[in-house]
Amino acid sequence: MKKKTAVLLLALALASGAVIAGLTRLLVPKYMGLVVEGNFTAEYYQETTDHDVLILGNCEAYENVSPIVLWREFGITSYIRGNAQQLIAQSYYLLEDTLKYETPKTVVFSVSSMQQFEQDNESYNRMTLDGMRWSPSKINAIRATMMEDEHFIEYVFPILRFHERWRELEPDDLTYLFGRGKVSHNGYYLRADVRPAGEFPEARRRSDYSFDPRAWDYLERIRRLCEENGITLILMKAPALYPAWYDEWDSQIAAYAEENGLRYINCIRESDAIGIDFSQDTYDQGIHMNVYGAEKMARYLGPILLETEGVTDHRGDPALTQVWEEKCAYYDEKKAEQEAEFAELGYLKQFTVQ
Amino acid sequence: MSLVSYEFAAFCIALLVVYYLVPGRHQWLILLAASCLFYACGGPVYLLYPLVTTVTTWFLAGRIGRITEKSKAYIKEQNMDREAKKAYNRQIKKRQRRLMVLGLVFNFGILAVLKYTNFVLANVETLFHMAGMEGEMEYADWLLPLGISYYTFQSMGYLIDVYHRKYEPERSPARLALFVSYFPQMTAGPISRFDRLKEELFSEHPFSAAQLKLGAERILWGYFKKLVIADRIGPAASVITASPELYGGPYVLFGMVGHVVELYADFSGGIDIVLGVSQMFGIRLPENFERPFFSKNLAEFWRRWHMSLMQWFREYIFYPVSTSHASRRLSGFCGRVFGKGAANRAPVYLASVTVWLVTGIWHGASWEFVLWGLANCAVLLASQELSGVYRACRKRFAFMNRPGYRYFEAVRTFFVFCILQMFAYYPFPLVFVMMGSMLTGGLIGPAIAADGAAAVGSVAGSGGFFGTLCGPIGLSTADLAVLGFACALMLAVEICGRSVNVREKIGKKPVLIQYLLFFGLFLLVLTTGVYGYGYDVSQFIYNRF
Amino acid sequence: MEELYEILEDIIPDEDYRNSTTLVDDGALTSFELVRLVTQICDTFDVEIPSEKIVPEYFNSAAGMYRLIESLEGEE
Repeated sequence: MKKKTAVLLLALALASGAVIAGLTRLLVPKYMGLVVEGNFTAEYYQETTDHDVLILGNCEAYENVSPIVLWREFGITSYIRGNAQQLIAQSYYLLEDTLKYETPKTVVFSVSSMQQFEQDNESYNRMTLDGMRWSPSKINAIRATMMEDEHFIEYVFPILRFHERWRELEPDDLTYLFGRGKVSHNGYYLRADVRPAGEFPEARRRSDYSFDPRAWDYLERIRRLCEENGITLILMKAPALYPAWYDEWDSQIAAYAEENGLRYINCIRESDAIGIDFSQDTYDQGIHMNVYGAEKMARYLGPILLETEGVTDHRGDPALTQVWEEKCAYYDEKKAEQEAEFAELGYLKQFTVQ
Repeated sequence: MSLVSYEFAAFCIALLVVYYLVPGRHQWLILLAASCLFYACGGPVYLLYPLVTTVTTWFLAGRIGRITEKSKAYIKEQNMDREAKKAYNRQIKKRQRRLMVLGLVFNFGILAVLKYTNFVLANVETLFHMAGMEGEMEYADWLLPLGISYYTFQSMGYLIDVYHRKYEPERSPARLALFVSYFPQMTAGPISRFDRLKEELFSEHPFSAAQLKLGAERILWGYFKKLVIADRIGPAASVITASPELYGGPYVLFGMVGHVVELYADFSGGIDIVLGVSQMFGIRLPENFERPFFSKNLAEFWRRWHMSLMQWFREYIFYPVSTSHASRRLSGFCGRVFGKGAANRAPVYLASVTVWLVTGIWHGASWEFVLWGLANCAVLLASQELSGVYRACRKRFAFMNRPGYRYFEAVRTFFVFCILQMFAYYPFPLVFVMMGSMLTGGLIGPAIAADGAAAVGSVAGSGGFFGTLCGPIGLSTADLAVLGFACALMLAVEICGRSVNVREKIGKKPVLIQYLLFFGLFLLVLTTGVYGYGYDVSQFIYNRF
Repeated sequence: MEELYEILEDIIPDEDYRNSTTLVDDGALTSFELVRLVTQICDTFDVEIPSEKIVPEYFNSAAGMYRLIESLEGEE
């Protein structure tokens, strides 16, 4: 009798676990509509081949360079591990995470996250961290960047965070219950709509231009991790008109790069060389690049990347070519779709609040 | 550490493991250490307050106890006659009373200073301003130590009992410290008596799966009441009562009932958690609620609501005041001036007003709460005065003895309590205005109609008739459905609870059924509970005390 | 016992206090009367009734009250 009860309880416990897991699947956001950024981190694990170049950073990383053009025109294999408002600490731990699977030759780090060390919106943390596979890197990333009223256990059991979504379930929650579609192109967020740059308020003067010491610390940790793994680190500031990237900030990064023998590319200064036309190459009035800007960026960065040790043209490799041809086809298809829709409607339905 | 926090859950689980691993005779030491830790979470300074109370209470009770012992020995030795014994005892009592009063003044003094300084200052400031003086007062910025009212009342009850020789004082300061600071009681009571809690705290508790299960069930039920009901309806009710100029008519009714449902679900839910946690340690604490809303009148209601506190007031304030020399003199005086009736009433009136002033001020340092207390007192005294009429009616009208009448009485008590609660959150004269608005169904202010339409959009899932009505107060149709279901469930369980012990009854069902019920309730709390980042976790209303 | 009856006669003259066993339950002794009763018992018998003893168990009947008084006198 006792034994029977024990077996029953064990079976019930397993069943309850399954129910809770299923409920969690149902209730977590699927990020398949207006906001797709929540899927970026997890998509990386679907990759079957290695990459020579890893691009790290926040929106200035994942919206501004097209890995497809880097492949098509230079034969460079690359992946972007970037998320909305990805903090520098998160970039560091995502680099650590990536190194478990492969060792890229070059890491391009977008430095704009130096200006803000702490998270200001919890949902950005969730979008960046929820997709990460469990490892010490994930644990450390959560602990380093959690906001004050977040709890670690809410990452372990996401249902504790998203339980109230039963009130706002959408068809998407059922459609993508067992798997979500691909939303990025090797981490790149494709946008083929155009909104010319407008007027931005003049950058406000600040009383203090120094970066948070903790941000410096993580930059140093990224540099050292690259060094230890024989990776060339390149610092990059993306071409964005807003928010302002102050000269005072620029010179600090430049000084750091020089001190450590790193290359630092400020694409705002280089925008003429890159050929950026802010009336054509941005989808949100100059904050982020659209696909046309991102392709120009790739064309600009390609030769620079090829100069670094170990980054080579892989177009001769049949296995890689096969994988990348698929990616190219998917990219062309999506780009054409968006172009057609934009030409017809003047906006993109998926990314517009109805 | 709030009862609704992951930290509290982790704390309890870790503690349970340690508690059942150590030898039984040391278990109470683990509880003492845990209580200190629990207290120190808010900052080590906070340990100081219960420590001071423990030390003073221990010392004074010990002195009182030694005097008693010595005097008994002395009486035996001297072989006194009855008269001499009485005279001697009177003298001894006087010495002991001085010690007790010292303890009471000191400990209630700390409580009063911490809780009421700003209230007094605010009133002094108002007086100054009325007198035409300018200037601002500087207010005290003290943080209240957790549960200070609860442990102060509990330890002072102990001191008074020792003075009355109900039991021997505790010799070990460490044991007394556990009695004062036993952590489950710190957040929302109940207030225990030493002779009863002692048996529970200091005996050995072997591991019992049955106790763990019962405790866990009770905790879950508490979270259900607190998270699903109280935290959902509370903010909505507050929106209504915070803007009386906007919300009139039916909203007042909703706000009034909502506040009371919140108060009950929050407070009794908190007590369920406390008692459940304690049960997991094998320690029974006194019940604090006995289905108060099934009471036939307000007096019975207050015997079944926050029972341990009201018992404290009855035992240590009502009877001592009503039988004190002062009230006897008052009674004599009233008898000479107003006649026999007044003489009979004077002690009870004096004691009732005292108790309800204290009850009012205990619930909140504001004139609203003082008035609320007095309003309760007025209703209670009036119903006592009318008890003769009532008894006559019962004899005369047969329907008053039918079972259906009991339901009427219960509903009436509920609404009497609801209306009295209005004194606590509306400023005094406004209470009557709002009652009028509720009765006449005064329409919603025009501003709300416009605002309402806009606010509806901001609440996810709102829409439809109820959604439009409740959108402005932050409830969607889905929320209303959950509230309706949860309240019905709570009511059903309470109705069943009148005749059987619900948890025991469930315990007799097959394991599978038991488990499914438990897991179903768990899922309900997990998904529909108001907690976490999507909602702001609100504090238990009662742990401000 | 007679002393107790005198007190009861004074406080609740209309009740059958000699035989009733439900004085409190019936509402014959409300807190008004109870308080007076306690005060007078204390004075007459020179005892102290602790507040936790003021319960229906003792005050529902005259016999119960007497039992209480006796037990309190014995304690001295």
